[in-house]
Amino acid sequence: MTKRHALLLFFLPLLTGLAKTKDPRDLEFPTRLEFTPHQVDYHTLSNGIEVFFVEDHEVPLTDIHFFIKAGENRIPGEYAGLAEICAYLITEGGSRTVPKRVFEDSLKNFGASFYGYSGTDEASFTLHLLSKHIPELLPMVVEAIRQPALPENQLAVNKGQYLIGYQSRNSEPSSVASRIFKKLIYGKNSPDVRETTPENLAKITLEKIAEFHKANYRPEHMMIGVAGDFEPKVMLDLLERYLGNWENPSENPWEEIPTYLDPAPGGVYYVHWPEAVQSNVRMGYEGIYRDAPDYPASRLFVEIYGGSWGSRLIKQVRVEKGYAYVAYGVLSSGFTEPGTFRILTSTKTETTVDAIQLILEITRDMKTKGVTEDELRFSKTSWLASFPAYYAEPEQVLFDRMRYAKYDFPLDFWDKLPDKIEPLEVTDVNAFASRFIETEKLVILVLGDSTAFHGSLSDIGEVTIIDPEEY
Amino acid sequence: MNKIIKGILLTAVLVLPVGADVSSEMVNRVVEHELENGMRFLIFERHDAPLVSMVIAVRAGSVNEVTNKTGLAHFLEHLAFKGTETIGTTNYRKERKKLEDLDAAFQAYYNAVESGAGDSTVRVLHDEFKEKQAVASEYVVQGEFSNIYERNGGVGLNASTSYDYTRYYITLPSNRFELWCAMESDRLTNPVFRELYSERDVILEERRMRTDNSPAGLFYEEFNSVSYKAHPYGEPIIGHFSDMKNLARSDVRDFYRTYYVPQNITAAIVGDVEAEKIIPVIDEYFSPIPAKPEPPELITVEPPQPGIRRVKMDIGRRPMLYMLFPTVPEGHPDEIALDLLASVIGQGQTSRLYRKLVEDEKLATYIYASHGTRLYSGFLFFGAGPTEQTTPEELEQAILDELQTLPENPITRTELDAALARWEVSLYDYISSNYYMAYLLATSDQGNEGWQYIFTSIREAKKITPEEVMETADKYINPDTRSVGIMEVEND
Repeated sequence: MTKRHALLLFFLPLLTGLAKTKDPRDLEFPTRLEFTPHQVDYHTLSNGIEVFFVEDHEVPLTDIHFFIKAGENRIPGEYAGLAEICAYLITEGGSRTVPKRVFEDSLKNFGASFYGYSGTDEASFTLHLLSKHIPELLPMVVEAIRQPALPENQLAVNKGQYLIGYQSRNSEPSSVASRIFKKLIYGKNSPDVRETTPENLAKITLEKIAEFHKANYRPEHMMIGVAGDFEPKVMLDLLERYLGNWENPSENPWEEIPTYLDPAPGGVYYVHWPEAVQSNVRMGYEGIYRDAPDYPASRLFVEIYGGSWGSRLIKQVRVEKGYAYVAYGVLSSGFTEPGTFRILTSTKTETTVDAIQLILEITRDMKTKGVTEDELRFSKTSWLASFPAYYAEPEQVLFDRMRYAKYDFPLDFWDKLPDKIEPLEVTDVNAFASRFIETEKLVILVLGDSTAFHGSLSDIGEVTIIDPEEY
Repeated sequence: MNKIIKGILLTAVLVLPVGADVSSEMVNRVVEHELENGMRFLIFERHDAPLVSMVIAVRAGSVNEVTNKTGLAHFLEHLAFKGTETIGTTNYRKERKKLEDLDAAFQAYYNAVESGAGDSTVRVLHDEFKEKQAVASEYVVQGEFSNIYERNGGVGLNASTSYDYTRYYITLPSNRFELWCAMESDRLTNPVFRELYSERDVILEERRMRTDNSPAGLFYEEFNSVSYKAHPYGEPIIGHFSDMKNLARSDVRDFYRTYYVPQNITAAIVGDVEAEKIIPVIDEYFSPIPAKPEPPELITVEPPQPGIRRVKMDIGRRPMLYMLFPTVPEGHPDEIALDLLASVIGQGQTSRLYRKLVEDEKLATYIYASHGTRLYSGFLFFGAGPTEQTTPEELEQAILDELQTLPENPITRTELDAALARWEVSLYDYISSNYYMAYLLATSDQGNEGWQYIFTSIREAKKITPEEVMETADKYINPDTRSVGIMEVEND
């Protein structure tokens, strides 16, 4: 054996051990992964309540969701908060025949939970439990939804919590910024953003809550979704037994109030926050409709603009300039009203003006310069490849189907989206950006201490000062 | 008695205590795989959707930092996304030299500022630093590491740093499993901590956002710092501002070399993969990582608390009360009894404290208790908000009074059974999600108890009697050794 060979043999194990594995950039995979989402089954109770089932038997748990169109958008301004308090009283107050503490202990003893809240256009309730306890607990919570006890003591507790919440609403600067921004976007009195003041609380009585409940909790406004480890036939029988005989009340449901009530005009809005070391910045305006023809293009637009790690906002505001930890832009779409276009960042006081100017420049560029072929390819591949994640869990498929059913959209709306995304070209995304971006419409809210800003907000636009105690 | 109530009470008697067969079956579905270098893999197959979630847990957190270097573990976590010797660079060989020049320039500038050098000297050195930064950045392919994942449909790409661990997460379409192996084996072997100075600005913004500009964040940091006298758990995970400004690339590299060793790392893989097929791929990519020496043990032990520790701040708009009693680290024989104790006395709206202080006496608007354990110690924690008519001090006393009634009003079997039922539901909630299952598996494998604890703890919990829970209450709830934090309303 020559010396050279001996040396080679000596190093061989080491070389083998450190053998370079494949470069991840060289690995190739098909972009789209064909798969079938979980099966959702549809039923209707004899009184018309639509029921959606998705089975998943891996663990012995079931979630039963009740959605009722009885949200804050049916509450007149003077009673703001009533729909939400009603939902809390249903989950925390017991039912006509089961007193509060027996009700709560029954859930507790089985490890179950029953929780609910009221959003803008619907109240929702979930019974989350070990499947074997469905026969005992389902009738109890259905009775609480249909015939809540509404105890006075529980209302007093809830009112106390609201009061403290209202008094401390100007505590955390980021929450204050978000609250005021939403009020600017939708209008101060929009049911989506208005607060429950002490004056409202004084007017919210048990009688008023009962009146609201009677008129608005009605089977024609309800949908039920069940996910988990249950037997569909048994579940359907139970739901029919406890809900099928529920009749719509003779009272009319309360009138709905639109979400976009009185949006503020574009411009700069400033909240003075003495000695803030960081400014909270929110920017945005009205979004789009889900059935807009260019909705698919809007998905790629937002990926490129501010909705991914590789987006322009993250890249330029966070990575290149180091202005912020959080910087993103989202564009939501609504079914009956437009969604919202929102940009959020927070940056140290000194760089506030620079960061806003940079965001404005990035936003303008989306419209005037458009997106590149590389960006389009990246966003499209990323969107299409990540599509299965939308249906990762059975409950996600259930909610998707229920959402589209609720608004009379095709139930396979989302399933068909990849076929609409795939053929999109740069011109499609640019056409959307060109139509949608209007920087002069941007409501720019800044909460911080302008005495330490480098530069002036008035360089960006006319400044309106907002007092957080009043707004 | 009406039909609904009778049905509920009857069944409650018949079905308790609950069983845990599903979790036993799940233990058997976890495949363990350990490499010769000590790195461990836990695989759980679930074929619901064509996705796979991966969590890498490194037993390295802020607890491993030393004086002057707080925030280091978290800094490393951020820089771990900046690429490797091949990803994120156009030419690492040349870039490396430029990074060395850049670090020297920064140090010169930093020293000048710290030593109070004249404005003109500082300005010149600052300009030089910026120039070197621009030169080094010419070699950077920005965001390439995360872009590769995103282009491949990765979602939930992120990481987190705690006192004890650093974790890296991603969910990918399941046909991309090999991509994860290629990316993570490269990151664990050849990381390059580039873009350090701009990323530090990002982290300083994170600190401002979470702490310096947030009354609740500042309050938590102060409360935490008084709760420990000697142990590094008293330091903030994100680090002190002054330390963060001084952290150098060499600090990050040293920390990585010391703690990111294979035996300190577990990767959990949960989803639509077949263990048999992926183990050879794992071996191919991760076996070449060389074995390394064991990291140093943490020596500091928090001494017994000799008295009450208290912090009071008037920086908020809402009064708030925190109270903590030191307990035991994870894996201690008393841990489960303490978990059950916290559940009965302070978790949920049916807990003793909630009913008494929120609903009956209306002294608080909310109250909760939790038992937290870490690698080196634990705590029984109470958080509460007083009503308008109550001061935080009165609420503190009311909680103590209620805790002192425990001996005459001991915890019952019914209360324990309810806590166990809740435990079981919560366990199923976690393990039915790919991501949470991976998170729990990887973390607990690097913890004191091992991953099996996720599934076996409930069986252990069922063996505990109410008397044993009362004994732990007596042992650990000592009003003379509590830490108290009070946030008062800011005076205008």
